[in-house]
Amino acid sequence: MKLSVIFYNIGQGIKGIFRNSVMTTASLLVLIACMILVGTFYLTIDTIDRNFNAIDNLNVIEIMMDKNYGENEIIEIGEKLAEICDEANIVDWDKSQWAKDDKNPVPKSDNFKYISPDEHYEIFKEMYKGEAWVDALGDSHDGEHDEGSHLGITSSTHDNPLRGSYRITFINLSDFDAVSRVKNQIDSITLTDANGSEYDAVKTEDIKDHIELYGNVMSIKNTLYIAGLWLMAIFLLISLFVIMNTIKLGVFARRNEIKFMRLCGATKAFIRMPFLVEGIIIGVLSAAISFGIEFYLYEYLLKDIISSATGTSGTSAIISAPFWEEYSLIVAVGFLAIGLFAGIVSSSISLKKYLKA
Amino acid sequence: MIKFENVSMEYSNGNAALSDVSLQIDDGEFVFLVGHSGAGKTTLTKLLICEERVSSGRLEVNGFNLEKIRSGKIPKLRRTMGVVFQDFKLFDKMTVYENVAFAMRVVGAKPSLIKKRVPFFLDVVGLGHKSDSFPDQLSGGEKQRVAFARALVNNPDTIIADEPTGNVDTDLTEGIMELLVKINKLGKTVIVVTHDMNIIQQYKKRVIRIENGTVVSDKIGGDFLE
Repeated sequence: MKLSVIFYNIGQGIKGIFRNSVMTTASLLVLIACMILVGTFYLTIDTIDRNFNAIDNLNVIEIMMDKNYGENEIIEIGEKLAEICDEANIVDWDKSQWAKDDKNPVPKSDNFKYISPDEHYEIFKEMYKGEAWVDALGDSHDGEHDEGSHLGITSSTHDNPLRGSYRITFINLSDFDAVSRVKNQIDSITLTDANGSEYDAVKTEDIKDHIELYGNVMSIKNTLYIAGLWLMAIFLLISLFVIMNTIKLGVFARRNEIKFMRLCGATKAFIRMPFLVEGIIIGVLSAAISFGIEFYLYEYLLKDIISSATGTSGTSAIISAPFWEEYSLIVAVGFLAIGLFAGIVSSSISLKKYLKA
Repeated sequence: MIKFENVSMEYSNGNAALSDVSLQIDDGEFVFLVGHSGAGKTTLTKLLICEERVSSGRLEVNGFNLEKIRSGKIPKLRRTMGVVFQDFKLFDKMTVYENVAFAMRVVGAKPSLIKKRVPFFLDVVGLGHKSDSFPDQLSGGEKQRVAFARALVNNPDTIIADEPTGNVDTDLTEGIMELLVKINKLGKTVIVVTHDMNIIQQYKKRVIRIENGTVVSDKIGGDFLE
């Protein structure tokens, strides 16, 4: 298409916007409402996600070892847990990651590892570092040494009140059935005592996890996600309907011109272009206005609402990403995509009847 | 060249508008198309500009085979024809110049070509001095001449005039007919759809008469009236 033709049609499209100013304003408002709704849902869900992901060990299950267990029992439980982890497809671990020998009596991979009482003690001290009572505790190896500790599995001192534990990290917790299965298998681990009789090696209360919390937050997130999608679909349909009627009014006002154009030999593309330009202008303008509104909404309202909803109002506990660095591009592209989609689809549908040869 | 071979056309409601029409109009011919209201004249012209499609038979117009033509080719066919409508179909908000230029603009003509050709064709129809006037400032005859300029400006092979004298005074009829003869002398095929028996008898041209969707006579001059 020639440049002069393109400019002519763009000019006609702009004229169309002003010819129908009331309907154009209505289209803009509905489309802006749709975009802000989508944007707000997206930003809310993403903020929840960020805060959720920032909580450590949410997808971790920790199996605390009985204080009275010796190295043999702990190693034996480790072997049984290794079997479970190897089979479970929700744990990114297999037996090839642990070559068991005297130097590696227990697994030490990221997703399945043993944390000794001494290591727990160091973590605990690090966590409360700077507090006077912790500084007074001294080193874990300062106390009276446990003669039996050779492999670093049990506590090296009698003073350490902490227990060793196995820590398993799940790939994700969305498959609740698989998670429950693994939990049951762990709960059912048995060992054989000196008399040859079996006993429950892992007590239910010694299995620590946040799976329920994870499930609750996931369910809230999914509800928000589905509600957002539905609302977006409904608003998008309303937007399409309003823009379609706006353009239809323009098409109707120019129906004689369109008929004449067709009979003169104008191509469908030529006839369609001014209306397409009109739709695109409505879409792009809505996207630009929505972007500005969304920025202020996020910076000055949304963050506060999320903070008060999560009980972190007035604190820095809520993690919110800076709009310009993290969201500006995706929000701009998203809004533009919605705007262009609505503009192009509605103008194409509006003209269909008048473009039949 | 326009060639109808056993062309029939039936509307979607089952009404047969044309049945078994066969005729040929050679390049540069001047033809009157006559018949009563509802005889099939309008359907025939609609078939020529592909506003309607043939139901059966073969129709060739200016090198296009219309029973097989793809929708993408229809604009090209229509550019070979200029249509003058009975109600002129001028746009009130456009000046005479803009009305004529619009016909060129919609087929993607360059602005420089538009500037050159529009004044030329306004001069051909004798309205060069009225280029800045709006349609409501023109007489019926002047409006008709603007419509002719608009039909001619894209240099079509064929001009179809639908009742060109139907909306003008008897005094202006002769002027319009002279204009059509002038256009015909430029080498264009001219098809005039009309009821006006006076002009048919006055201009001894080929007359095709249609009744009930069929060609009942095809003769030179006004002999068909007998």
